[in-house]
Amino acid sequence: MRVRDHIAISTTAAVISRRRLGRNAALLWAGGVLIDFDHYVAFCLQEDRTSPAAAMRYYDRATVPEHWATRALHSPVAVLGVFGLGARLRPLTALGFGMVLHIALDVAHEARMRNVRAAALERDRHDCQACGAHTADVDTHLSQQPWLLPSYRPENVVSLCGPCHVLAHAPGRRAA
Amino acid sequence: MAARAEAVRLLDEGARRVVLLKPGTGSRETQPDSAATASSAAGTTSTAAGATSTAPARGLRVRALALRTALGVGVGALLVFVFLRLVNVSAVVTQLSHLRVGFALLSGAAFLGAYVVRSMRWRCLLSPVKVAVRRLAAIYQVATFLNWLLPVQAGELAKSVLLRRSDGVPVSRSLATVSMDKAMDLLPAVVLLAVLPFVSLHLSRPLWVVLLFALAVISLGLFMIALAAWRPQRALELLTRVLRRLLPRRARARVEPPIVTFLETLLALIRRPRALLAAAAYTVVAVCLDALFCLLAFRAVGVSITPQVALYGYTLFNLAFILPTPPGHLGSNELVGLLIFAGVFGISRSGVAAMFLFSHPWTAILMTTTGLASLRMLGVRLRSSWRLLGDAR
Repeated sequence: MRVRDHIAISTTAAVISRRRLGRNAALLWAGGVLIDFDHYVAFCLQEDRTSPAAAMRYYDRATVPEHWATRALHSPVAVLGVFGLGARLRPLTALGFGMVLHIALDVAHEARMRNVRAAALERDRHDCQACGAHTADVDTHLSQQPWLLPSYRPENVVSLCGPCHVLAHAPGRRAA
Repeated sequence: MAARAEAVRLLDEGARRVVLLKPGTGSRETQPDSAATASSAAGTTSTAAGATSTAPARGLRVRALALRTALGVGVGALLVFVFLRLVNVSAVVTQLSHLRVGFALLSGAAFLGAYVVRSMRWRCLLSPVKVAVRRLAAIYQVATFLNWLLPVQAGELAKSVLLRRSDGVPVSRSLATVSMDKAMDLLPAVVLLAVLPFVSLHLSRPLWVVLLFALAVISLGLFMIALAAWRPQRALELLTRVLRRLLPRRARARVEPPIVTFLETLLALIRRPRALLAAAAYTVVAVCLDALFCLLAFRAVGVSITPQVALYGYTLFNLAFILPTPPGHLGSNELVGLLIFAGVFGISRSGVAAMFLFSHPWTAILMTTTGLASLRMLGVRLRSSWRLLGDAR
C-alpha cells in the first residue's frame, strides 16, 4: 500500500479514536505512518542517498530487492516489543496499535492484490500485453490506481514480461 | 501493597516539597533534602549561619572546578596534538569537504532519539513514581549536556536535583535509579562481549586475548552478582576481603564504595524483574539507535562500515566514557574513536578521523541546543543549575 494511503487511513483512525485516546491519538497516527521509516533508512544505507523522493521512486520499481532491514519495524519482534513496553508506559500501546493497523492494512492489501493478479494473469493467458511474449517471467503490473486509496479491479492490472515491466516503471512511461 | 504505601509516602513527601520549593522562595529552592529539613527545623538563625558558611565553600568549589577545567583543557589539547600526529590531516580535510548533509541530519535524529529512549528507560526504573516522559527527557538532556560540558560527572547528580525541583522526588530516592540507569548502559557491552565469538568480526590475535581477558572479568562479575543475589552478605564480605588483599588502604577507600553501590543497584534491579526486562528492551532500542547514528555519521563522510562494526565499535566507544574526560570530551572522543575503529576494526584512519571531527562538533551543537532548550522548558537558568548542583554536592 502506498504511503499516502497509509497517511489517509491512519489520519482517519486517529480522528475517530481521538475522543477515546485523547492526545495519544497522535501516537496511533505516528505508529501507522512512521513505521515506514525502516524502508527509508534501508534505502539510505543501500543506495547511499537520502532524498525522500528518490526513496519513493526506489520502492515504486518493478522489482525491489528485499533486505531484513527494509522491514525491521514491521517485524513481530518490533510490534511485540512496543506492546510489551506499553504495559509500563500506556501511550506506547497506542503507538503499537498504529503499527498493527499499518501491518494489517499491508497484509490485507497484499492478499487482495494476489487474487487480482491471479485473475489478471488468467485473463491475459500469461501473455505479455506489450510485446505478446509468453515467457516464465510474465508478471502483473499495476497500470492505474486512483490517486487516493487502492482499487482492486482486475482492469487496473495487466500482464507484462520482465523487460516490459521494467520499461513500464521507467520515468515517464507509467502506462503499459 | 508495600510498594503502593511507599509510593503514597513518596508522593506525599513530594507534594510537601513542591510547596516548600515553590518558585519565589529564594535560596531555599536550591537546598538539598537534608539541608532543607535541617534549616526548617532550626529556623532562620541556622539558615543565616548556613549562608555565611556556604559562601567560602562555594568559592573554594568554584576555584577547584576552574582548576580542574583548566587541567582538563590542557590534557585535551595534548590529546588533540597526539590525534593530529596520528592522522593525515590533508586527507581528513578532503573527506570533510565532501560532507553529506542529509546523512548528517539523519545521524543527528538517531543521536537524539537514543537519549529520548534512555529517558523512557529511566522513567521505567523510577516507577512507582510517575513523571511525564517529556519532562524526564528534558532532564536527561540537561544532564547529558552537563556531563559533556563539565570535567566532573555532574550530570548524574543534576538528574536527581532537577527531578526534585520539578516533581518533588527526593534525591535519595532518584539517585539509586540514576545508578541503575548507568548500570543498564554497561549491560550491552557485557552482552556484546559475550556473543563476540559467534559474530563474524575479523579481529587480530592480541585483541582476542584482550577480549577474552575482559570476558573472564565479566564472567567473574556475573558470578559475584549471582552470589550476591543468593547470599548478599557473603558476597559483600568476599568482595571486601579481596579488595583488602589487592589494594592499598587509600585506593580501597575510593574503589570499594562504587563497587558496592553498583552491586546493590544490580541486586535491586534483579529484585524487580519486570522493570529489568522493560529497561533491557529500552537499552536494546537505545543501542540500536547509537549504532545507527555511528553508521550514518560514517556515511556522512563517505565511509561505509558494516552494522556489526557500528554496533560493537560504538558500544566500546561509549564504554570509554567511564574514564574521566576533558571538558567537551576535547581530544578524548577523537583519540578513543581512532583507537577503536581504526585500531581494532581496521577502518582507514583518515575516514575515522573525519567522522569524529564531523560528529564531535555536530553532537556538541545538538547537545547544547537541546540542553539549553530543556533548561528553558524546565524553567531553570544555566547559572541556577550550577548553583543547584553545587549545593547538592
